[in-house]
Amino acid sequence: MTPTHESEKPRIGVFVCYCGSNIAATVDVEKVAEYAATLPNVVFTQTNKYTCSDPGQEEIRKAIIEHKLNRVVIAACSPRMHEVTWRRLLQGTGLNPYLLQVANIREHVSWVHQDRGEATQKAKELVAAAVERVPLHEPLEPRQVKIAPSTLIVGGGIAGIQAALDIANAGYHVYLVEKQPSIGGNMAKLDKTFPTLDCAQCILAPKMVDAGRHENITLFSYSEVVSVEGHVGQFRVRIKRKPRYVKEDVCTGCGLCTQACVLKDRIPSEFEMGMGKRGAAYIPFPQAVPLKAIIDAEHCLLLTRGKCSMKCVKACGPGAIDFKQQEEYVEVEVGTIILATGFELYDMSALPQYGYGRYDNVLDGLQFERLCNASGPTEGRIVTKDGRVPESIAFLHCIGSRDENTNPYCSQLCCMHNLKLAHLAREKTHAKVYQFYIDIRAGGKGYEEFYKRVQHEGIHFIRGKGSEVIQDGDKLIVRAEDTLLGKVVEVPVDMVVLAIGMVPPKDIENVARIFNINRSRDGFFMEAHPKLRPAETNVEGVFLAGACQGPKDIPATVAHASAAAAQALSLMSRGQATIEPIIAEVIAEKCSACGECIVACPFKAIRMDEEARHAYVVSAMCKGCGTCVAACPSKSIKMAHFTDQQLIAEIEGILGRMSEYELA
Amino acid sequence: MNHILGRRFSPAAASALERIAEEVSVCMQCGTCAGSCPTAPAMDYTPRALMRLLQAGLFDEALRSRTIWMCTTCYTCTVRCPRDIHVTDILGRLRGIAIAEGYAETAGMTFNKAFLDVVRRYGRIFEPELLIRYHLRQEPLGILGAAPIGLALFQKGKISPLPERLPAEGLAQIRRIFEAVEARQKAAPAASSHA
Amino acid sequence: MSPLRYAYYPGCSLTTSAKEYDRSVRAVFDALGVELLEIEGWNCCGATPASQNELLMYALSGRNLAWAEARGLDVVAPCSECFKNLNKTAQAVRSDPHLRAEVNAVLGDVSLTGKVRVKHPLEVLVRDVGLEEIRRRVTRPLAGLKIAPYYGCLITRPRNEFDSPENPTAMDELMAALGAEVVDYFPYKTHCCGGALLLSNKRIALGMTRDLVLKAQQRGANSMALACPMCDMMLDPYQGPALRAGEKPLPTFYFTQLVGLALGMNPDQLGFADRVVSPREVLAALS
Repeated sequence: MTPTHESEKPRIGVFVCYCGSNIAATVDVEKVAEYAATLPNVVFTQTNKYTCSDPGQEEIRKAIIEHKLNRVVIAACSPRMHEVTWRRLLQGTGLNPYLLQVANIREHVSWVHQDRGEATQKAKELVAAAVERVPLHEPLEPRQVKIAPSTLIVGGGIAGIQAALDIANAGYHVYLVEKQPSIGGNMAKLDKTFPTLDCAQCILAPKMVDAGRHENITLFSYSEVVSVEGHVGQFRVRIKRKPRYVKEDVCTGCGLCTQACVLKDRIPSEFEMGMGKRGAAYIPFPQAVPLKAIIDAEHCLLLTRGKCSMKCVKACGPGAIDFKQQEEYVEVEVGTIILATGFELYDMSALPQYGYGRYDNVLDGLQFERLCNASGPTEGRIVTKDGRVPESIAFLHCIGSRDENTNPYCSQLCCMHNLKLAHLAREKTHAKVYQFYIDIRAGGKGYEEFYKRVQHEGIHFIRGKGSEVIQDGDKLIVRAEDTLLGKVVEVPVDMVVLAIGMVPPKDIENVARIFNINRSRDGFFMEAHPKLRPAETNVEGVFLAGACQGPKDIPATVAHASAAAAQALSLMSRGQATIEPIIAEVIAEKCSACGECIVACPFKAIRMDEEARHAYVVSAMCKGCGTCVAACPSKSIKMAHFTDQQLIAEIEGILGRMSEYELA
Repeated sequence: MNHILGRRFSPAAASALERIAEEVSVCMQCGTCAGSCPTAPAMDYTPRALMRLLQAGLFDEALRSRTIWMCTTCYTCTVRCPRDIHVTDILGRLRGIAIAEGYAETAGMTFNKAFLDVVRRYGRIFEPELLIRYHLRQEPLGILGAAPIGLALFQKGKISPLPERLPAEGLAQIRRIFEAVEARQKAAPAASSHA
Repeated sequence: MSPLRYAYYPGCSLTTSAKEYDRSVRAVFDALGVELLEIEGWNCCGATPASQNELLMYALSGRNLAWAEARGLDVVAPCSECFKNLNKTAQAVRSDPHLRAEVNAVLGDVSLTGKVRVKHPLEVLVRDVGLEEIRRRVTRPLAGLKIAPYYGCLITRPRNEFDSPENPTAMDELMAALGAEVVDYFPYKTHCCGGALLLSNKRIALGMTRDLVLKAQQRGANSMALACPMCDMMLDPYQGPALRAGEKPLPTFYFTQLVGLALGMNPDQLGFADRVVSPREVLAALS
């Protein structure tokens, strides 16, 4: 095998990593290195305890120079882990960083196999594949791109607000896009917050106001991102502004239209979680930002039936109501993106046994928050649907969490949330309060102390998951096992509050597609690394903040949001970023201009040169996914670093060694 | 390992019990099964407590419990188990082990044995013989209590005085099935099972 | 649409205590143009006692499925217990190759793949025939019947694709299509009747049955629709012993009897005379 681009003969160095015992416990690392030494073009082999460590890297550096290596194979962990580290190492020795091939013998071998003999054999085969491939590698030059000094933030809950303020305060511009008519998200619905019992509105509202007024923040409320093009540093974002039917620049937020609306107090309020009512013309809640009215097109009589007395128009002094408003589209260019799209409550239709949505007094935690809240539908009085003060309330944990039938994961904050609600219930009523729980998870600063405090408040803890809720006259019967007594209990109560699990918003799949980011098995957005890169994604320049990455309470959300903001700021203050040269290229002479690749490209990165009659790749937009290569009927697209020859050589490396193995 | 905490089990039973123990290892003792079980209040161990016995390797106590004979097989526990443990089927397997290992005969055990004996004999169930076989061993006077309803059903033609037998060839097949199952289960650790 | 054709597995009860279920299933399916071919030489599925020996249950049930599989027919099984065993067997044999080999080794001269679908007649009527067609064929709407639809525990459990195991609705929809008033019988509609304990723990079993009757009456039902011979045993002949003095009995019917009635069939043809709790009063309310 001769290299295609350089006359010199390949001189390959193979470095096999122990990874402490991560690899060495299952793979005979020395045997793999001995074997590698027998392969063609391999002039040097070495094993390392930790190839990624400083001493490990130093040995490779020395070997490259001493043995005049011009190709490097490292058999270690997944290239997703350290490929970048070692590319930098090659660069430091003057070798082109892309003359490296990593054989993954950890995630693909030692972590997934038990038999030492077979694992060692597989590791050898993967090394052979890398040795066959690497001579065909070509030097590639990374591209530098400028980072525009602005950020798109999607979602205006506490995560989006926090990130927006961090970035805006650092002097960069933020476009904050919120789907709802007001920012504030779920936190705005809370009464008090655990474990300190601060009033949620009191700590959130000032931040909302800041975000609404900040000179560096452009707020697009009642808007959605419809498409994103480009790459880190230069994302072109198209935003749909849904019609409010109220001119934002004219409306003073006085609320006269909401009083005048013929449907006043007739439509369940989203903000009140259906516990209170609003009109078709409404302001979501008193602290809304922007404090502007909106007309609900799904209910407004004029907009649905074309007929209404239009009292709202008459009531509005400044004449802000405009039924002719249309959708508008805005395009912005940003250097970085932060997703802060939050969570929703699990859809309970698969768990009818709890009577949620069926029995009047079975509520979710957010509904109960609204009952507790002084500006809520009952002005803070905890009462049943028919106005009774409950004599007993049961809080059920883990409904739609920790359950293979619904969501296997723990939603993390419900234990503390339920404890807080129990405290509020005891504070505001004399009700007997029960907690039906599996485990109380109070791992956070001041959390265990809060748990103990609530225990002091005369709350009955029953260790057993609520199995079902049955209505019996005025009472709701909670059936469960008190597992610590080994007895089945049937507890009659006046109100049941379910700690319903947190799930990704219904449209998360669409959002993931627009931004081309991955989701983990739980459906939430996937971080680049679960421990070390929790706010980054698989797409450079796109970051995650808050519960869109997984269930989080407020402190964790705020910390995560600030982390995302810091990541975005770090990129923007650097001003430029390096992007992979692993992109597709159309071989113009072979291209028949059929256009299949243009249809196939998920990033709209391929265009047609109509005059020259061939397609071409807009390199800045190409993400190197390879879809076009597979789609091209005439094999006229070449994928750098993943050429057909390179892939075939890799396969031959494995198959060749396999047949040797079988013969032996 | 056929000698578990003081009691000697046949190799087949020991292997079946080990499998069960492995299946229940993920039980988090939340009690959803017990809270969903219509007969749990009448059990000596709730289904959740029974899972605990199995996790602890206290198989003898599990097999002696009333619990396994109080199950109505309504499957509510299985439907709701947050860890997807097939509780109902596990209780069923324990009943089989209790019979095979010669545990003290319960009413449920008598019924199950009588039922399967009748099926083995005719290929189908024959209620009068089932009732007689059952009451010969359990509360002999109980058959008198059942008489009025039996009579009413008889008058409506809902109890047949004669068994419906399968044709000879079918009956031979049924017997072969019983024998083949027994042979396999004696020879090898209990049959694989839940799907 | 090609005519619907199924292998029919009556099961032991349908030849004796539940003979009117058998009669009404056959009559209704015939009237709706659904062909049933009774499995020749079918045997008992093992019912609940076979749960103690899963291989035996799979083999006993499998022998019946093999007949249908050889003829490329899906199976209809009206008894919930049989339905559950047959369905579980088909699912298990289909998905677990190791088990499939074991069952086939026991069965000897047949080889089962598990490709057949096992259906409860409720599923056939609601999904395959369709509510629209049934509604069209109703000649005697069941106005005046206030029906508690009682599914029992096994039609949708442990799990199948047909209906929800916690809140099935197919029978509610079917009874409504017949013109009856359907009372909201959740969550009792899937509560256990206690039938499996009738002999061994009679007191407990009867208590469960009594609860079902009282709850249905509290919800305003004047009758109950059934889909299982064991539930029927509890809720018809044993309803009397289950109730306490002064408590009013609740007439119960197999749901197929009610479909037949609404389709205009003669009640005698549907076995109404076989009911122990007299249905006369409630049927008289029908116009």
